[in-house]
Amino acid sequence: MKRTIGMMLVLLGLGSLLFVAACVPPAEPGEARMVQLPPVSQTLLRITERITPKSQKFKIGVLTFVDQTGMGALVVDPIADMLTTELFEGGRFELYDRGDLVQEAVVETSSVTEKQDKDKEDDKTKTVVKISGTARSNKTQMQKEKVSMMVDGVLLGYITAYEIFEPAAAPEDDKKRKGKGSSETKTSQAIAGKFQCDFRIVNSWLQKKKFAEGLSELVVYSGSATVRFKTDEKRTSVILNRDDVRDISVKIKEKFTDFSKSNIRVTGIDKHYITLDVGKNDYVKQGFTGYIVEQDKRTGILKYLAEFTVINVFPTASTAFVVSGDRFLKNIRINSKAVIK
Amino acid sequence: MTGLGKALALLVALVALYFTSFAACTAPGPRMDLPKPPEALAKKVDMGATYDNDSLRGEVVSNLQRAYSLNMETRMACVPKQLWDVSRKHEWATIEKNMVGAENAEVDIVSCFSAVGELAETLESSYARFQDFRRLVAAASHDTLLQRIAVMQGVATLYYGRYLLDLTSGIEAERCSLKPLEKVVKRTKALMSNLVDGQLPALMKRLESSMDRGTSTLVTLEFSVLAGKDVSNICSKTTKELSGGDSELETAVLAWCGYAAFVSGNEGQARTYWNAAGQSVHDPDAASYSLSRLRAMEDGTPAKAVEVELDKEQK
Repeated sequence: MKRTIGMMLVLLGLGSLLFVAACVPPAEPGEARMVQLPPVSQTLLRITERITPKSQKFKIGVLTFVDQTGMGALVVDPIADMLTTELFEGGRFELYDRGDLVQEAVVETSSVTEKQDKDKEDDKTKTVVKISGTARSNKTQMQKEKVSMMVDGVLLGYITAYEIFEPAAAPEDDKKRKGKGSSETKTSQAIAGKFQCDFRIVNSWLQKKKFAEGLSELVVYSGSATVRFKTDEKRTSVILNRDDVRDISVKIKEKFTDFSKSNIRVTGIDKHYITLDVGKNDYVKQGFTGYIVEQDKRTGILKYLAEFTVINVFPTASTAFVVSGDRFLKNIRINSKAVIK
Repeated sequence: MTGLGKALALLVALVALYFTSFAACTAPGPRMDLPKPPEALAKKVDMGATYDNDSLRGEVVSNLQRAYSLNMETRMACVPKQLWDVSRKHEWATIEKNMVGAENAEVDIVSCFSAVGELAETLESSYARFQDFRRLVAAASHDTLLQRIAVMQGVATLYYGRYLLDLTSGIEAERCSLKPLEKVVKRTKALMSNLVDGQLPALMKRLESSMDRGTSTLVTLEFSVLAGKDVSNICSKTTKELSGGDSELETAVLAWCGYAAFVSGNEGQARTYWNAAGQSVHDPDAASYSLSRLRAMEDGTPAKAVEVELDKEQK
């Protein structure tokens, strides 16, 4: 009996312990069990609005040259056309087709010629030159505005000196001509000569849109050259020396480093301004343009996300202005890939 | 009855008493019958009809936003601090007498269980929608955007599931009875297992080639965390390459790594990640989340990162 009571007491004790154990306050719950989840990024669902690139290489529009001498009306269009061809042949640039500009020039030239004829009758030669120059200047401005919308840079050229070698033909021809009499040679004489031109390539982005205070035209390239020429006997057409024109295009090409194999990255973003990790040491120049891109791993094609123009250049970095509009700013990130045209 | 027989009977009685007392001590108060999971809540996609990616995309974005809002808001209403304090003191029976606003606490736990029920419905609906998207992807394998939409719907479903499990785990940690939630928990685990062990990884693999590295890392990280996998290697490797929350992707990665470090008990590391994410301006949601976690860690004392942020605002 005593043993039974003893066992019951032991069991009761154990039971009490179990009861207490069941009611012991739980350990502090780990807050980790209840911590809120972070937001899921929606990057994967974001549809990136892309830009349509107007060119993959720096695109130049060569405008009809401005004749500042009053004597070079015959060469202002041929020099622009030949330079366009040579720049294209070099493979470094894309070119604006000058077809419509030449068409305009023909209309312009004929009206000026009519005016000249009329003025000649009135013996007002000086006025003729003045009117012609003004007309050219206005036309260049119109061309510049039109072309700027479609290119990265506008090539502006000026005929600054014009020299004619008379007679144009070779010395042997001169002797023949002298024998035959001078009156005959005057009517069918070709002329030869040379002219000097100064030209520059101006970034077109910053002039067609007033992006920010203080940003104005950026001259990307500036140079001068001498080009030889000769006319036909009737002096209605002119042939420029192609080697001279080619030299100009080669000089321009040399100053536009090819960045197609460069790995350029965005290292900073400040509203419309971005910093690139290439600079003067890499031959980057003010006025160069480019794109922020993303490369499809599978196909290798580039997706164009924003367009920029380089505005400041430092030894190892440069600052660029995003010219493609505010809505494309969100496409740019630190370490985004950039290409300079 | 022999002495041994009596002792055995007594032992049985004591064991019964133990279980009775356990139930009494851990009862959560009013028990709610949860609504049954819906059979087919999802809108069925007509496979013959053309689908509109824009509207599907909008649907998933809204789904993700809702999941995050629930995660941030419902929990606060559902598990008020005073409720757990009361629970710990075992004063359920005398809750009205001992605590001002006790009725509110009771209402809270009712709404908590109700919220779990609603969450279960949403989870079912989200899962069914994911299955719709999977069928669409199978029929239009060339459509990368649709694949992305399907993956994000899967991630959203996983998110609902993870949140539901976290919530119920929290309830369990407080030794409240999980009995009314057993079915829901079981079903949630089954759905998540389907997603984690096959359906979602298969879709993600198809997308791999069309994703950039940063996006791929982030999606993998989110998936792994929600799936309950160890991401310490991904985090240590990825964050070494980061420049400190300098982009939207980096901020999100830091916020998720902070969460992963915190739930694995590494508070110091979590603080480091969240500090970096909290100071970023590129992903406001992830930055704001990180700051709120830092504040919670400091338990009312503003964290250093918070002070920095406030200074910025004052300036």
